[in-house]
Amino acid sequence: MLPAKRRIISGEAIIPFLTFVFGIAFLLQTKGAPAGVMNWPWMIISIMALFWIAVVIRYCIQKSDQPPSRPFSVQQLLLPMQVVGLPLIYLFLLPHLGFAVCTTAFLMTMFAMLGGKSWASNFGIALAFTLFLQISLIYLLHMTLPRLEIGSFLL
Amino acid sequence: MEIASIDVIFSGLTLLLEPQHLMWLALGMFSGLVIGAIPGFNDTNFLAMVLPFTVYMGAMNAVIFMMACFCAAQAAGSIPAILLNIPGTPSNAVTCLEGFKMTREGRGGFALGVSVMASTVGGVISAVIALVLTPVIGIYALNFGPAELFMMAIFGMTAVGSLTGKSITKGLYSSAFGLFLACVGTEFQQGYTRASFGFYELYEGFPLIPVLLGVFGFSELFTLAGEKSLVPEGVKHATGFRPIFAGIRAAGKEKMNMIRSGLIGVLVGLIPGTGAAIATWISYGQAKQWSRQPEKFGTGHTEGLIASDACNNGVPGGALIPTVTLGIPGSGTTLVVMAALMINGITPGPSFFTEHVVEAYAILFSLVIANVMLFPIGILIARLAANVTAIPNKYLVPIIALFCLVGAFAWRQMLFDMYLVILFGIIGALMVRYGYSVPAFLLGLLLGPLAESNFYWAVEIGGIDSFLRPIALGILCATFAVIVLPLFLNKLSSRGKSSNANSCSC
Repeated sequence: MLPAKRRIISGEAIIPFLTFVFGIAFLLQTKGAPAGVMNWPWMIISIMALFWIAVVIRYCIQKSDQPPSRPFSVQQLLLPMQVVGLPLIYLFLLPHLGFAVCTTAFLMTMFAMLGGKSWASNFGIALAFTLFLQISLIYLLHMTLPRLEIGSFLL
Repeated sequence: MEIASIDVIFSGLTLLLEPQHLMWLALGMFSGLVIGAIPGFNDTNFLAMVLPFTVYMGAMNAVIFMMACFCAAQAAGSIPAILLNIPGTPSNAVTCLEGFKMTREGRGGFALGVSVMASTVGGVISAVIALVLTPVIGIYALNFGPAELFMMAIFGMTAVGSLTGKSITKGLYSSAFGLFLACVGTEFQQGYTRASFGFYELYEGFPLIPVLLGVFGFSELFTLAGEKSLVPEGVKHATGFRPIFAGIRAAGKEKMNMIRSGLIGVLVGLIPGTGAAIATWISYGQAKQWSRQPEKFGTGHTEGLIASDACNNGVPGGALIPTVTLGIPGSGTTLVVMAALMINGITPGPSFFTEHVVEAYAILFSLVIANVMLFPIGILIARLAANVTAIPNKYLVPIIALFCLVGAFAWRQMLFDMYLVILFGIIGALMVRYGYSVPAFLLGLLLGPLAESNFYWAVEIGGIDSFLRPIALGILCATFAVIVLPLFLNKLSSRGKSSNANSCSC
């Protein structure tokens, strides 16, 4: 066991770190902004800075006799990465393959990934749901979702 | 303005009971229930789409349809909030806090029953107050100037920041973060675009609906993906009408909470520009402070759910009052209602109650009837909706993900918003894991533009002295009380616990 000393709790530091990075990016983007435009943001940044310091001192830097560790293990990150990764691939392919094809494939893949073993029922449910959304969103509500052009036919 | 005679009021009721008006009332309710239950679909946007057709519907039918839709959407928005942690409308975000926790404990049907009862009672209270006092209390709304609206925004954010999340510091930090994010986009004074990061989609700032769907709906998927069903294994899950009626009975025992929350909805709805989102947070905060079990809030507590849903349905009546009496819309939806009246040649305002008094009372009665009808229809919808909890997560999680993405697209028809859902889903999940207040963050984002513009106008018009006006000062004192009171009560209760422990040890 290590002697107790002040260490940075890496998990607690994530949100303060993200807000700090966003703050820097915001200030860089607004460099050269006319006077008056930045009055309100500077007020908010000042208030935020006070709370940021309080959060960092109170929660991010704590006495601990445990060795520093990662906030998440690789195993813990596997499922969240799948939950994020698959929708990202879906969104990337959506403008190219259209709503109907992408949605059916996305649903089928995600059903299988989460434990749906029967490909037939995965495909059936995915297709039924996609059809329902296609009819209600595109034909009834006239939403301009991306569609796949096959010759003169719009899927 | 004065209260009309009984004959006139009765004529208004008779006018409403004509078959064509009742038909439009029923259609409005049905539309509202569907639109409100679908995350990402906003009743304001739907009614804006219906607006051109109001010329063919006629003024009375149009307004009755719109107000019924408004009431039903507010109530229906609780259904996905309770069952899926996805608020159907922005004002249902508070419902997620308690309702979804109850679903995870196998009490989804019970929560829906509580919601139906609270929504009906809150809605009826607001409709009756609107009916009786519209000519009298419309003037109250005029006393709220920019300084008061600014203080209301700060009060709302402070109340939420200090009452939700694991610590007051993190809660207030979340509010400030939301306010900071709201600075992105075109600044209202000079039209300068602050920090759009090269995306034209951010010229108007971060859009609320995708952010809401991300932090509430999508963020929950990280937990649900690792579980077999919404209700964890081993937890008893009650189905059928029985838990719904149990929820109704439980809500019926909390009369004071329902009445107080409904009144808060009316009073805040009365103030133009505030809307149901801030009203529900104020009501929730008030319920927690009045409760004998404040520590149970946020754990699936009936009182919290009642406070949010009764208030939510109390807002439409309050919002209608300044719209009809002063020609100042109380909310986005009543703005569309006002437009419908004006398209049909009726100018809302002080003259509306003198020149069209019978029609005015017919509209107010439609609000009462719509809220009463909400009760039986709400029970049926709740019974059907509760079956969602029986769907295994392997099918539910992808469907929720899809609903969140498509709902975000429905707002502005932009693919960019779908990416925002994923981004804020990750941020929301991290905030929840480390004890930050997601509701406070959202309220900061929502109220940021309101706070900024009203602060600017208050300083321009009256200088710093405008913040010393009685109402503004009163709200400022309430803001400090909301921060100090929980700390004071915590100290009292820990002193009480330690003196109990000492006496026991003796």
